[in-house]
Amino acid sequence: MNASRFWNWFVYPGALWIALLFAVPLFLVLALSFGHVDDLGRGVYGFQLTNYADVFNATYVPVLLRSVGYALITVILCLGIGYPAAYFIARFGGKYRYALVAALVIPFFVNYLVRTYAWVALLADEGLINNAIVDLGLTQAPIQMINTPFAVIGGLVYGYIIFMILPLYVSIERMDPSIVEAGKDLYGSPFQTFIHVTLPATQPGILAGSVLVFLPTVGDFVSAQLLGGPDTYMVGNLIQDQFFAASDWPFGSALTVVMMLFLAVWMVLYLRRATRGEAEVL
Amino acid sequence: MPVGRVGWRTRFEGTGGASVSDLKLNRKQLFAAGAGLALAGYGISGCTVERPLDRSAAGDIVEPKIDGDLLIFNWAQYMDPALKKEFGEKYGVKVSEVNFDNLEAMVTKLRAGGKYDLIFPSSEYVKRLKNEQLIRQFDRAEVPNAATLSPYYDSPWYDPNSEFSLPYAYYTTGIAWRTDQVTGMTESWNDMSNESAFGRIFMLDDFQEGIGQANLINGFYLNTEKSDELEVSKETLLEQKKGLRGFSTNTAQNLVSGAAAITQAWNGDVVNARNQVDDPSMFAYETCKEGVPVGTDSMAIPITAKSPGTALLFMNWMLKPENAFRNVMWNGYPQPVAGGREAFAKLVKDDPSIDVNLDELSNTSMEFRLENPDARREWTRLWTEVKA
Amino acid sequence: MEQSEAIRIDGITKKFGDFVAVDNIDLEVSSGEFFSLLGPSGCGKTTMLRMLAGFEVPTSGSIVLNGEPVENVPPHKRNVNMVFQSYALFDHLDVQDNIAFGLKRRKVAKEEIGRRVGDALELVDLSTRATARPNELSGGQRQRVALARALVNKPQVLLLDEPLGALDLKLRRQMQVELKAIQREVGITFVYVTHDQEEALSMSDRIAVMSAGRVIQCASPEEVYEHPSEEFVAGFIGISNLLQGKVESRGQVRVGDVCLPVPDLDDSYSVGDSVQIAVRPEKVAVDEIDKPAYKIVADMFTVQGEIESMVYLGVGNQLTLRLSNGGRLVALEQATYRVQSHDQWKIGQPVKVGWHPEHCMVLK
Repeated sequence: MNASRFWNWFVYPGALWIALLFAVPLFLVLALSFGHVDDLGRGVYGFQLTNYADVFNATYVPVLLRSVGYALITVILCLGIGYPAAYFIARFGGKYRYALVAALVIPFFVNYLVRTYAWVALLADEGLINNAIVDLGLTQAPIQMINTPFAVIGGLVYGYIIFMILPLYVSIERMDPSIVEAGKDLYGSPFQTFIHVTLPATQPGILAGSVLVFLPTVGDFVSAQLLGGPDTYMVGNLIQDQFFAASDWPFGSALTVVMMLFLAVWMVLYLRRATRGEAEVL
Repeated sequence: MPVGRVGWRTRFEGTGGASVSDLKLNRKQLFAAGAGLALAGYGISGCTVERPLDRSAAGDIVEPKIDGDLLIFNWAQYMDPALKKEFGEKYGVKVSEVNFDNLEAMVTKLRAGGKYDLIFPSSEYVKRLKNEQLIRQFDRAEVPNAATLSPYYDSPWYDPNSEFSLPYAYYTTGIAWRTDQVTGMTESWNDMSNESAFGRIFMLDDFQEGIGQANLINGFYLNTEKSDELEVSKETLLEQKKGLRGFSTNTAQNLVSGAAAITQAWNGDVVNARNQVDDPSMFAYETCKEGVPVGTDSMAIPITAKSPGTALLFMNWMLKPENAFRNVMWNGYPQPVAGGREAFAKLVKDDPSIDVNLDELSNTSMEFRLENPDARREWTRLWTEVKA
Repeated sequence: MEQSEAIRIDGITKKFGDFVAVDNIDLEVSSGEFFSLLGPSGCGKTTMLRMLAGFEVPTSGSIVLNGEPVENVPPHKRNVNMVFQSYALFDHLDVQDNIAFGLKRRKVAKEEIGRRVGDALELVDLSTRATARPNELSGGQRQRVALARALVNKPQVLLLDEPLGALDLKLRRQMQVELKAIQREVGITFVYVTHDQEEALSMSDRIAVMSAGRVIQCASPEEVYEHPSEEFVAGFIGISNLLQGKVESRGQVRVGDVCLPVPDLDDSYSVGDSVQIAVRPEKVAVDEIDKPAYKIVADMFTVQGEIESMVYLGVGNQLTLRLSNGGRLVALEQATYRVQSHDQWKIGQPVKVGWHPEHCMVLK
């Protein structure tokens, strides 16, 4: 046995791990999506398509559109907030760079649910922000911030922005700073240089960050559940309710499968882009 | 090396030996894999999600004797910890508690073989668990403190002769509101669209409570299974939704934080909200003339329990009048037993509407029960469509 | 060629905190000149170049480009272009878009861009790789793209920051020749930063030798090599043999107990001054002691010594010689048709050493 054959054996524990913890449950979800609920409310495997027929009920279309819309807005906001932050840290952080990155990451050690609850306390009608602006006399009555789409999107941005900042940071840090100088040297104004040099050079980070934020955001249920109102129901809430409130696991599974297929399309598009890695953004 | 490129592909290409391309399946292998999956799918077809449990203990009657440490599986913040501690000290056992945050999750864990000794299902779930042989039978005579329970619980609809469960707490569903902000409350479910609170109303995020109150507004049976009636109630709900600020079961928090001016509420949560503010009179509670849904959370012993005897002794312990009194003072929910009733009356003496009229309990049409699985499915779908 | 002034630098100083990177430099560069800034790393040559490009603002002093003061003009408004050490090519653009970058920013007409990019590609011999990505090119090709990307803008001055530093030796030699040829062809003023003295000597019209933020000597390659103004220059450019001595008379310097004849000293030297004498290794001739003079000729100054060590260089031998008065010299002996191979010398072998007195450089 040659050395490389020997080392190849090391792939098997990991492959087995993935098979057991990922592939098998995924297969069960797929199988259950063709099943039904028995008289005792238990999910039973089977071969029927009714769950899928129900998924494409027109009632759920707005939910899907809303989820994708919120996710896209979240991606854009994360990009808008995260890019300057990542850029500043990577280019001007100097010896404090790692400390700054750590400072960004540390809040994310706290569970997402707990952080979202913190937002509830912050945004409530008699929460910190409203108390402050009422006390300062900026408004008479508190402004409703919680239970709105803004709060849901705000929670999503807060919840997932680190997945945008970290790849951006890596991308910007790896960028040869002299290409920015080259852009300026070749008559590019600071803005033109950013658009035509910096942005394309950090495109892998932008793409990776966008996908990393989009994928979990579109399926998120915590933000809408805690910060949302009656009209912020997302796909994640829909699926979660099937499992924990409606006890309709087969329907929940069918929703999950459709959702995963939808996200897989985006993922494949991204991977093709990332491996080609050539096309110019602008 | 291009700057900043995500490098996973390059890494894989460099490993030598079995490369990614070796792992690509050709058409024949793909077909075989697909056939294998289909076969596996056929193999599990008809099986339930959970593996079958050992139900051999189902027929045996639980004896009240210490047979091990106790593991309680309960809602969070629902039991006075001092009572657990004292029980443990008295009987020389360890009492631990873990929590669930919804009943469906609790049942899922039971079906998966979770070894809990004491659980707290609602009436409807008692019946389901009993039918599924997931809870154990005991002799009520062996629980002396059950003697002072309200007579309704001698033989409730979900557990005839009370052989599988004993009540832990009971509650009504009504409407709570901010007295300083809302006017024109009418003791009707129509108050769920009170105009002075438009946009600041919460509905319980519970498909039975939501659809149930709509049924009552329309004069239908609380648990109606008639599709045409449900269709009408759905319209009612969609109309109510326009004035809602959200669907939520965090009632006390919504009231205290000021988010809710009006909220559909369980009476115990109103007690909790009143306990959290300086001036309890800012929150009022009403039950509605169209009908007051009532509910009971019971104690039951799962088939998988390792210490069923200890669990039965603990049930008796919780029903002891002075313990019931302390527990009610602690969690704010009435307990239909001597001591528990008095404690609750004391808690709500400023606002008697929060108390439960025991006559309401005997009206079994006011408890949520969807025993027909198809009806249950129709209800949950309807609820999903309202929320979507 | 019109000898107008392309760059005038007056009293430029650049400080980074307490560190003085460039210390009160005055320089003038003529239009069309190939001008090199030569010095070890940290001498301030790159900082000087970056001030010309506009990436650094001088702490004090003025920079005039073609008659206009530019110290405070941002880089994108200066009519100079730079070839970066790392090339700084835009990986997301192909070769022709890289080259067209500057023209596009200046809103040059599309047809003209096409024409000029085509010309630039031809100039650097890359017409066939117009649509390649930078990461598909070899190092030499990338270097030429960087050059074309700068030249296509027809800058008044082209700044080059060690542009050949990343290439292997053979390619370097080849690119030196090409670069010089291109400079002659386009006639643009080149300011070339390098730490490689051979590169500077072979390509430049003039060289400014820098050390610790200052220009030590600014002259033609021949002048810098043959008549270094200071010990630093003599030592940095080529290997020099340095001998400590005192001025004995107008034409003699005493080293130990030997008086060496030197070229006539001017009035700035007086008898008794401490000076150094430098002799280039290739000017030192070595003969076997007991044989007739073979390489040493009549009017050379000679001294006795022995071979201390020897390094075979292929094109010749580098000999380290211990002189009878205790001094040490390095001699570079070209392998010509007359000098056969290295094994004619043995370690410890006594030899005669000689050089022409006019090849002695006297340094203060």
